[in-house]
Amino acid sequence: MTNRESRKRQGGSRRSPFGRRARAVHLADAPAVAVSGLSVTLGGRTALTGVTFELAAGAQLAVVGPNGAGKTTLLRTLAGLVPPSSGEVRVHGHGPSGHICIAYVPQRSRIDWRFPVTVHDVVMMGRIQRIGPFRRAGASDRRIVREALAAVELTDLAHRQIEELSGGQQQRMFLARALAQEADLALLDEPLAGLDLHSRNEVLKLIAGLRDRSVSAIVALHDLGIAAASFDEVLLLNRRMIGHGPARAVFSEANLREAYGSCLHVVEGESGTFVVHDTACGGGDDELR
Amino acid sequence: MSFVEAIVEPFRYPFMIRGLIAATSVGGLCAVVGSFVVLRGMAFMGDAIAHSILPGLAGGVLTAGRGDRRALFWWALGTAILVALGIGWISERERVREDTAIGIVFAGMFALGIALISTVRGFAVDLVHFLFGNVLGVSNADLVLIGAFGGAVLLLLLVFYKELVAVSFDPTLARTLRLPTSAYRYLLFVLVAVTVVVSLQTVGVGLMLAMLIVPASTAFLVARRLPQMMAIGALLGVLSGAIGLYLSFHWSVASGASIVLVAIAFFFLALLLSPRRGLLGRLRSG
Repeated sequence: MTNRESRKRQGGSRRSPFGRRARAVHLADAPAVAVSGLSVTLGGRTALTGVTFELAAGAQLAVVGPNGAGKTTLLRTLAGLVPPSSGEVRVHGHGPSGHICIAYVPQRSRIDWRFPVTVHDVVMMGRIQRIGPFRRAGASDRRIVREALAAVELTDLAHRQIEELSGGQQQRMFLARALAQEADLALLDEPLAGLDLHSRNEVLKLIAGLRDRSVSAIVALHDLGIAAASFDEVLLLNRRMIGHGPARAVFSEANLREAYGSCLHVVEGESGTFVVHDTACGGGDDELR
Repeated sequence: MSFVEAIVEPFRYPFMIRGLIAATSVGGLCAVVGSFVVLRGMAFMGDAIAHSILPGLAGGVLTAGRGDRRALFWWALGTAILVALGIGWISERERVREDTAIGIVFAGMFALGIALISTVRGFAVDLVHFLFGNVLGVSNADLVLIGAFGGAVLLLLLVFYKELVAVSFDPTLARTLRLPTSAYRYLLFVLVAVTVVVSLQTVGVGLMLAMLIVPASTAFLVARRLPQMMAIGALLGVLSGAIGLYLSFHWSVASGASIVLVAIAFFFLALLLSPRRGLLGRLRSG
């Protein structure tokens, strides 16, 4: 895609006191995400260090690691919400904080579900910057929101208050918001947490469907099996990057032991080796303390 | 006295008509702005802004004299906006917890105000009006100020509605959309400050918080969307203002207190009966 085309896709930026600097233009040949030597310090403590990877446009990456490994911090840094203390983050060739094409979906527990908004309202929020200040949503905005809701099969629930949705539906609503935002990169923080098997599969199917829209995705997960089965690449994290690449290469016994420490159990079964990790376990945190 | 007479009688007194206009407009305005206060958990901050106006009023009394009501209004407005910006600034720094920062500003400003006003002869009357309001002393000029500034607050809320909702509901989204979240946060604080000043004469500082949060919380119990919550809240605010003032007139009760008690009565009614979040609704759905 040429620069001009991508600028067009981003929509012309409207300058005003409430609509600050111009948006970043995507570089044609740059990967969706390029991270090199990234470290992040939060409150004087190193939350993340030694993270280096690239993600091709449209590819899907699972970020796995024990609780407190820095998965959320990594996603927030990629979204431009947390500044790196060293190293560099590039999204489509530019620093992340100039982009409006990054959709960040927080853990469901971070949201006040009693807030009096409907599913439609929340999805429309993804378009606020494109609508621009002093303007109301136009016909094209409403059409895009309608299509996004249809894509995640929430059309019938569009006018429900968000507390009335199931966990899976809430997660699908956020995916619809990412679509309405016309995001090129989706960052999803534990989208499967607390979902039943059926909802998990539905959400996974929608995440996989992002490929057809050439939306790159980086997803924080707990489940190593899902990470290996449904994603192009995995990134194993425990405050520092332990491995990155295809799951088969990254999920070696040595790497997993390093990430999960004593919480990891390697079981020799009849049909091969099983790796079991206890998600309720504090994980590598204990090793570090 | 018949019911009709009871309704009509206050209209024989111009001060009652002005009081009714003030109480109903303030009731409506507070509920609309209060919707954001309730949803963002800013109740303590609203209370703090109200109390922190005192040193400004004292400054007005000391420089312009207590007769110059217009001067007092500007002093109050200036102080409230400064305090709102100050609290916003401190709480962004994360040196101390937000509620601690607000508490320190609140207590410090209030103490400073009392110290200043205690140097004025006959300060007790000023203090009582400040604390409990004096809706029956509202002048035509006051009504103009309420209308102008209340109208400006509502207009700004309308213009920046979608951004203010996004910043309140999901600040992370607002930041990834690269909205100037900090500017909107300050804007909201200033709108609360102006609302507080405009409402000061009607309910006073002591009961200001109630007008900001009670009708809005009542509406929260029954509404499913924010515009609905604001509309229902405004209606309840207007009704509380009118009914409260009537009760105060006929029963010789302090007007601010009576307005707030009516608003509280609506709240408990909704808490009991709301189909969405009410106690009866819960029981029925098991």
